[in-house]
Amino acid sequence: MPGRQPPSRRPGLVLTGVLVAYSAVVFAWWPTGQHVMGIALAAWLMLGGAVLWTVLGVVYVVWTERVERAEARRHAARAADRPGSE
Amino acid sequence: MRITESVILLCYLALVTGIGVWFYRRARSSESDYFTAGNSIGTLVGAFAIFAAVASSSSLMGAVGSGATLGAPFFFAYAIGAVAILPFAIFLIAGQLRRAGVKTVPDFFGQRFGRGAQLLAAVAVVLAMTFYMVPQLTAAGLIGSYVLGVDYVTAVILLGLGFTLYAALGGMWAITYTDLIQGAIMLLGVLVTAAVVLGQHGGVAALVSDALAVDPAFGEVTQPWMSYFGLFIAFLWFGVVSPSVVMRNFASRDARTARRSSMWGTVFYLLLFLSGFVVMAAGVSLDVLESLEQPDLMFVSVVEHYLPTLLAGLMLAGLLAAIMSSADAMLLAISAGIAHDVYKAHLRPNASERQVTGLGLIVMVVASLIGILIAVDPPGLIAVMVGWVGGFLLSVFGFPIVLGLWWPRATSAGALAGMLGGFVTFGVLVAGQWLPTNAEPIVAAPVSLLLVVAGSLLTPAPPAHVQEMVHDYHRYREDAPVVG
Repeated sequence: MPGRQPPSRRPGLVLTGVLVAYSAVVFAWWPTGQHVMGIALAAWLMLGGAVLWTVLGVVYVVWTERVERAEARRHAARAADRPGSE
Repeated sequence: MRITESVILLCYLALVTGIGVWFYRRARSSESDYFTAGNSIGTLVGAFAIFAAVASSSSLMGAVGSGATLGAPFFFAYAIGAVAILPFAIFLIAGQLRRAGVKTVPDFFGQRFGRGAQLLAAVAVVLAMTFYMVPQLTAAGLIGSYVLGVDYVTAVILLGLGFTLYAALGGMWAITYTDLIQGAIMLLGVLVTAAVVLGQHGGVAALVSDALAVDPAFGEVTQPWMSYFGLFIAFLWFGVVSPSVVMRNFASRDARTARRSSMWGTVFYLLLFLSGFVVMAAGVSLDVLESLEQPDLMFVSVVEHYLPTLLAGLMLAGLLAAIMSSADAMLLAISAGIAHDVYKAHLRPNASERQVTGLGLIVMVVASLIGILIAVDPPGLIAVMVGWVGGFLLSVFGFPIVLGLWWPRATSAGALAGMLGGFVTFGVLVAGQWLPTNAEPIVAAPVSLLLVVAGSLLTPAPPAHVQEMVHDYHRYREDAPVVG
């Protein structure tokens, strides 16, 4: 695994995990016999997946920008601590 | 011939061609301008551009037509895969590929795995993107013949040359700005159509009930499980493996802009599918499926039935916009594959930027002509053809790209084995027709994964500087820890 961050602190890996887990549940369960409003539950779960992916996209952007800001602050603090810096 | 709709379509064609002419000089000034718009596109324009590139004829006409034919669950299999395209790409590869500083997908293969992988990737890109234009041209021909009153072949040629003209002249600059207009027309058009339909039926529950009254199997799973799952994974991976989408990521001003553009593009795409469901249910409730020349015309039929002439003309322009905005991106990927990744990288490294962009322009015209020739007699339904391309790209590129970015131990031999193995397995499965439609990547992609891993472990590890480069893909700035 490249880099020094643990996988649990990396938004892309965590959210990929959520995406894979939800997809696995939907396609493993695959409820074709139960219906809501006359449409198979499997179809509604797939629609729910599409909504969830959109939410995950927003979470990724907010999370990544937060991590980047924290890293930038840490980086600036390290640079200020270096000998010779003002 | 439908006069009002035809006038709107022709005005729209004139506008996008004008944009191509406007950007001609700027696009030809450098390779970076022609293929990636000088890496300077902002969030709003980028969001509409990436949304328009992803949302092709399959998202509107294909998904609605096949959903009306095969049932609502088939439509939702499209939705769960297609809406995941951009999030999955930003989670796994978008930031890393930007940090790699490459212009095209084969460029990345060249940087990470060497010239052989770059050449093989360029061949696969050109093949896939040329074939991917066929469903777009088919859809354009169906709409064109319906609106303009000309025969299907004439419509394919007319509209095919139409989008080739502005894409070839203006490169990524023209493509991005036409996509801004096309994305806005497409989204607004489908939202208005859905609102009118819901207003007339009295809400979603009443609409679904009307559709079920006409077709009691509308809500049923009618196909084998593998068809739904195959469609889902082919679309899920599309943003990772399709150069027409990945290159939009390179056009953004910076990584933050690229991420935000993809996020907004996903929101737009979800709205498109929610509205598409309404259109599909309305189409089923009209009970016109049997009378249509092709199921893919269901969308057009709904538009004509529910909207007044002027709005119908705008919506048909929106459909055409969806087609053109994806097809132009494919043309650019083909052009970059030949001019940048084969000609400049392998044949004439000293070629000037103007020579490369000039060759890119010629390649676009030739590729378009080949696409038109195949589209004259299309080999299948729009949705099925798009599924084939997505499955092919996943089988060839999916794991070599992701492991190339995330696994320093992945070697050139492993990547080549994975690409070739995926290529051959997919081709054999399509030719043999042993699996349900669009299920081929369920087998071909894991074969590619196994070959990349086994091939890498059986060959010596990449040199230290290559492994260090993989770590660099994950640093958001020099000396900083990894994010993404």
